[in-house]
Amino acid sequence: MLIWILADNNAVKYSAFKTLLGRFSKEYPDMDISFEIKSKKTLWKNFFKFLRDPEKNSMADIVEIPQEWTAVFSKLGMFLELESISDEIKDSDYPSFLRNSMKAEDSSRLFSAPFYGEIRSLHYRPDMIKAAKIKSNMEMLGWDEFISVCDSVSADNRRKNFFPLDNFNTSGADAADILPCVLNRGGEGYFSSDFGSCEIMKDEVAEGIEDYMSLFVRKYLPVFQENFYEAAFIESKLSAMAFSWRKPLKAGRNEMTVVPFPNLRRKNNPARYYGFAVTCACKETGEASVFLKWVLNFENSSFFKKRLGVFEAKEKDLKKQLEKEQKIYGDLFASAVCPPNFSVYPSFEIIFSSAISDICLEILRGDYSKENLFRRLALIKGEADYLLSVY
Amino acid sequence: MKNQKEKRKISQESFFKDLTESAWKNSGCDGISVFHCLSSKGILKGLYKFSGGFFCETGENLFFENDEQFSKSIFSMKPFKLNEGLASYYYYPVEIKGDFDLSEFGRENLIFFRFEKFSRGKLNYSKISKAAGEIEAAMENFYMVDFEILKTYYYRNIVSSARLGEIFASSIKTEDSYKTIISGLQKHFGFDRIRFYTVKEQEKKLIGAYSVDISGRVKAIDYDKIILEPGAHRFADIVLEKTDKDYSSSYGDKVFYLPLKIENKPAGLLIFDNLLSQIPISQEEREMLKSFASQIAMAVDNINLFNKIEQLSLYDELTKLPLRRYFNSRFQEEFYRAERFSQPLSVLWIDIDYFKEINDTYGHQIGDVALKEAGRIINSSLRKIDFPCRYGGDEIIIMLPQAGYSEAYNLAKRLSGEIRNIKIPVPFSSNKEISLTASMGIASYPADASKQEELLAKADEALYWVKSHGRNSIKAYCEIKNETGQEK
Repeated sequence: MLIWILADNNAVKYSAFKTLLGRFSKEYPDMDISFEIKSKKTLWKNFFKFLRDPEKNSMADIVEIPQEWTAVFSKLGMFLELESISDEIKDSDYPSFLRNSMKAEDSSRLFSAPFYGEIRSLHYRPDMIKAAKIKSNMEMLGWDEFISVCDSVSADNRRKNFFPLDNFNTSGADAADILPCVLNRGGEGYFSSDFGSCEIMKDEVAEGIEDYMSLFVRKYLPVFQENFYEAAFIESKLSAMAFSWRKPLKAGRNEMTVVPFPNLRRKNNPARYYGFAVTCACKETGEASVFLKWVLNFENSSFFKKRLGVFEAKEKDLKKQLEKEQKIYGDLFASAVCPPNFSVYPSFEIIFSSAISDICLEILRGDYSKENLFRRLALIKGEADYLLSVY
Repeated sequence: MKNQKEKRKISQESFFKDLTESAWKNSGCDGISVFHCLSSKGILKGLYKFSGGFFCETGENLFFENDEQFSKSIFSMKPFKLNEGLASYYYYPVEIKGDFDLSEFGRENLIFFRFEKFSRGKLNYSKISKAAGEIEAAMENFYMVDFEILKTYYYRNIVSSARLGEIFASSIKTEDSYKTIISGLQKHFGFDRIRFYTVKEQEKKLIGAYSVDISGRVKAIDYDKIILEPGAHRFADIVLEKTDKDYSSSYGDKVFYLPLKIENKPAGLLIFDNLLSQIPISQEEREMLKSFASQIAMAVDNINLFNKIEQLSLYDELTKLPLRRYFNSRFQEEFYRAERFSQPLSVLWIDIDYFKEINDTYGHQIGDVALKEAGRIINSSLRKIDFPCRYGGDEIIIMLPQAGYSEAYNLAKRLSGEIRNIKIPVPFSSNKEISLTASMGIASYPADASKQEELLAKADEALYWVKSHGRNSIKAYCEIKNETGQEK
């Protein structure tokens, strides 16, 4: 049985997953199980290649996917219904903010099982904040106040390559990174509530995007850079803060403080979850069932999530985990929202991210202008609306 | 010789995996990353990484345009060292030789291998130099990756051309010819969706025929009707060639429009899109589709011609109602269905009153108008499952599946009213216009008959009764049976 897992900024994921499979193999020595690493982009391409020509293109039996891919690929017949694999996977085991992400569009049938999750927060080094003589309450930062903090931290650190904020995203920014700023401005996301139209040109959304991009323009956040979080960020003090999706990693856990994303309205805290789906190429559904049941068990896989600094998916496991974590995470998860799970959302993310990447290059070249950004956004809206009309 | 199954297909991924794994083992580094130098964008775009014993793709982008020293080092085409944070790097450039129009690298064929040591670790340059030499030698074989791409590309082209040619040629014979064409195209090209529109010249419209998605599901899109006039819609502009805009490059190369022409006249439009997958439609695919355009257009023309001939042989040109031969075959099918599923089936037999007199008095031209109008009324008043027919002369039969006596009677009553409303102007006559009336007879299965011929005969009998009792009326066989005391 072959599993495709998603590539990660942190290579710890691969060794942890190898250990995970090693433990599974000890319990089930007759089962031949292996994994390969695929980037999100390649995984997406491979799904379509396989759909086009299943005879000539290979496909894993089980795949790790962002939960919001469930609707589109279940609609295209790529995933097997989980009930036919294992009747033990129930949406009622998961928190309400996750349940929709397991289903096909307009149906209650389940096609993916969430494995682990991440939630947006702000990490900072208290020593550096103190050194910059910042008196603001970091837990209650408004957006303008946060910009002032960046300014002060920047003024206090004149080293080459220093940025007040660290960027985890080596490709610049994507839809999920920007979403908190959109929510800050009062937008509800990139689409109307019925997902009938793209709302990217609404003032709140456009201004939210501009807020995030201004962090690049002001040089508070590097545009493209390696993931320094573990090595340089903590030890070399190349940044004082980071917008993180995960918990502070092992090396700096004691040196970091976690607070909510600046100014984020408490009713919406962006989270993202990754889960497993069984593909239509899977011949041994019995084995897939055994693996899913095993891997979704807290006792078997909690070590993997701990090493990665991510969160549990099942409601009771998450509750158990949050009791042991910093209180802030309990508050954040109380109002967690996941990206919408409907057919065209992942395609929209690709269009959006590609445009944002171009804008990032404009920023680096000094060609950035608000008018340019809004013109690009209008084009994205046009494309997204066309997508909605066709699919 | 190796067994076919044992042969490993060379792909770009497998090539770089082998290369970086070996370099990682031999260089004593923590990781090896592969970057593609995109000088047009000023970035080193991360492709692959081998680190900690794992090979994966990387999305790491390094912008060098603003960093003079970094830029200079990159374009020097010589290896260079760089320290960032706690990491030490050694960049090793390799130029890929050959014609790479088909590969992902295009014309920008400079690759950088980055040897990495993290956490203040020291790079071992003698080991790195050896590993870099091995990389350089192995990269000489990179052409094999492109060769594999070329081979697959040409093989697919040849197979597609042959199979699609067969499909286009045979589509006329199949019942759902349009479906066959777009399903064939979908199977060989595998787009997210193909939509097919045909030109209805008389209506001046572009009408949706079918769409097929990536999983092969075909859907009718006949609800999509576009006015075929310049400026009315971008599809109309494309088909009429009334636009300077290159729509083929719209939506970031994810959509391709292929207008179809027959003898320089617009015949239809095929729209190929990869909007869902966001995978660009390649130039090669576009060119290949363009080369098929005339074959597809010819197939469409053949289908249209075939449909026209079929229309002529099955339908009455004057009333646009099906002819007797067509009716008989459908009647047989529907009667069988009614028997099998124990459903009612009625027959309504209509005769235009005094039709012979109209012809004799006002001429055949007026008679034709009368029939045409009656046909129009009937065609527009029926359910989708009802089936009318011009049975001969002025006699019209309507088959009403799943309808018993009362449903048939209601329809007859409505039709009778509408036929009475027909006013036909008669020039050069003192009457100025004539009105029509009709006599109608109804028979129903299973109440009145148990066989097809018997059902028609009973409806005819009911019609005869009306005609012999003053015309302009409706009678069902069950009524005349009761009135005459006739027993079955």
